Amino acid sequence: MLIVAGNETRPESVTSQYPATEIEMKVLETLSSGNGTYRYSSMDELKFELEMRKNIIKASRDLYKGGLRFRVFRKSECNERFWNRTEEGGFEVKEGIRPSEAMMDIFENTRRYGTECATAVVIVFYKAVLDIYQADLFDRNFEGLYLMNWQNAYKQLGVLTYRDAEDYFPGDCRYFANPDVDPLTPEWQGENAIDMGNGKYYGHGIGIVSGDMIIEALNKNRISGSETSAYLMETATRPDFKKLSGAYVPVQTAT
Amino acid sequence: MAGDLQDAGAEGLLDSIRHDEGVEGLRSYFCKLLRNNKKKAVELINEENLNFCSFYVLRNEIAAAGFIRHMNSRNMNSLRILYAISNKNTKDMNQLIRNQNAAANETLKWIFCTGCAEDGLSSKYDEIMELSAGLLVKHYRDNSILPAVADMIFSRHRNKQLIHNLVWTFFEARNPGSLMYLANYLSSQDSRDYELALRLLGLTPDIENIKGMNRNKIYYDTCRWIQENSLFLYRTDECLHLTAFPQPYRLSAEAKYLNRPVSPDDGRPLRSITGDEETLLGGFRALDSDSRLQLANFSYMLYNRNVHQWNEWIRFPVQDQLRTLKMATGGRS
Repeated sequence: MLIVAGNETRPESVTSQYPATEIEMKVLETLSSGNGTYRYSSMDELKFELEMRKNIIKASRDLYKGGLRFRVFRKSECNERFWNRTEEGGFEVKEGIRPSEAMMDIFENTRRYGTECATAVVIVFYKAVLDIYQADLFDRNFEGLYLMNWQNAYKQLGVLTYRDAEDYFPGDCRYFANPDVDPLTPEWQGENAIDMGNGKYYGHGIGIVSGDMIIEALNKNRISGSETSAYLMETATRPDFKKLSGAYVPVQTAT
Repeated sequence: MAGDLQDAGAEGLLDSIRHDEGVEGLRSYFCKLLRNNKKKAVELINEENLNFCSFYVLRNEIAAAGFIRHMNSRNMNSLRILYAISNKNTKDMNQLIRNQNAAANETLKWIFCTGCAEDGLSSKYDEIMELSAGLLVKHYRDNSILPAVADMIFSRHRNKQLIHNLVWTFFEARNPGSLMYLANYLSSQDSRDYELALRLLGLTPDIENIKGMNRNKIYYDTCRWIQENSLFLYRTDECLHLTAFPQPYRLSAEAKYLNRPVSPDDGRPLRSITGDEETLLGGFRALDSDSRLQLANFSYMLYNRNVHQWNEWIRFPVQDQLRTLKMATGGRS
């Protein structure tokens, strides 16, 4: 059930005010008819999440097309004009460089970057925010931007993992676990993958493919003789859309 | 601590030189020895109490000197393992494990146990430490190295170095009792240790909320919880790869309710459930999750206090069991 400003809301009443794309319609339909109850304090808050999810999918496609390289953390790569590579393999925005510029560089010079799948999803999330916030607001909110798996993403984007979610949405980050991964290649212990809303997932290092193909790729990297397949976990990792919209909506209201 | 895993015997000459004069000092000494007394060089490199770090530092010199054929089997296997790790050659590694299972195990153990004190030497070296730990835990189910792995995780975290693969290895031991090694760091004076321990134990996603809480209380409560529940915990496949706040194990409330240990791999009871127990579970499963957990905790407490009383109580209808729980706890959850 979808509740906006205390009122049950049907998708049609959203789209009558706001022309929704196919992806946004899918999200609205699940919000309205899915298993869970979803509350938004205002239409703006709902629209923010819809736009974020649409942007997450676009950023995934752009990152894939741009040719982000798959590199384990120990061998990660970044454009050192904008980023410092830390000892643990993360990317820290350089002093004096605007976070928005550094983020844009990843999408303009994608081939100069290489990392694992979780950081790729974090990059996608930040880009989705940048596309709504635009440069000034993004820079004010994400000073000291650090891209390294999930740790800083929680602090700055409010990223959390929801277990046994009632519904799944386009733009969710899902996780394919590979319990019998070969210990010599732990980077194949799982794959973080963005639900593209069309039956496919963006998994960095594998591509934009079906869930079965991700499982097949993971299964190729198991302990010899294993019969335990990789599988899709009942989890969804999401940024805190409400917190992020809180920083955005008041600025727009003021202008 | 990590250092405890090393041989207690006298330090070999090569290790002694490395400690006194550093890596370059050791290389310089060894190269001189190769020129003047190759036989002695072979003896020293084959010494029983040599630490892996010294062997690793000299591996190129050994190869250049052309006396690989004089290496003992430990060193030969080490070279094969180093090669397989460097090239991510799973086929070679699997062949080594298949054909020389015990020898490969011993060599990996030597690599990790004598080498872990020097973790931080270089990125490549650190990778060898974490991959050898992974092989020991996954292939050989060796849990004896877990304390050292835990120490390495926290040491690396303090130094802002990569911990992901080590954390994965630690949880892949599928040994719920080992959570105590992480819990011990809740009593650390270093707040970085404390915060990491909270994260890895899946205690809270919001560290801000518990900032005001008594740390000693959190430490003791956590240790008690692990001790009480370790027989009923099973692996979830969660790790830092999935989330910043993994919940590596899940509690089987059903198992705790019946006081039946489960496999840490999949949560299935170690012994098949009887027909009577299946009937009991029917009523249990109809409850909401909070009630199931409360009843499971009460059942465990009663079982450990008085098993005869528990045997009587467990046969009551579930609603009567809940009534007993509420009377015993004064209605508190």
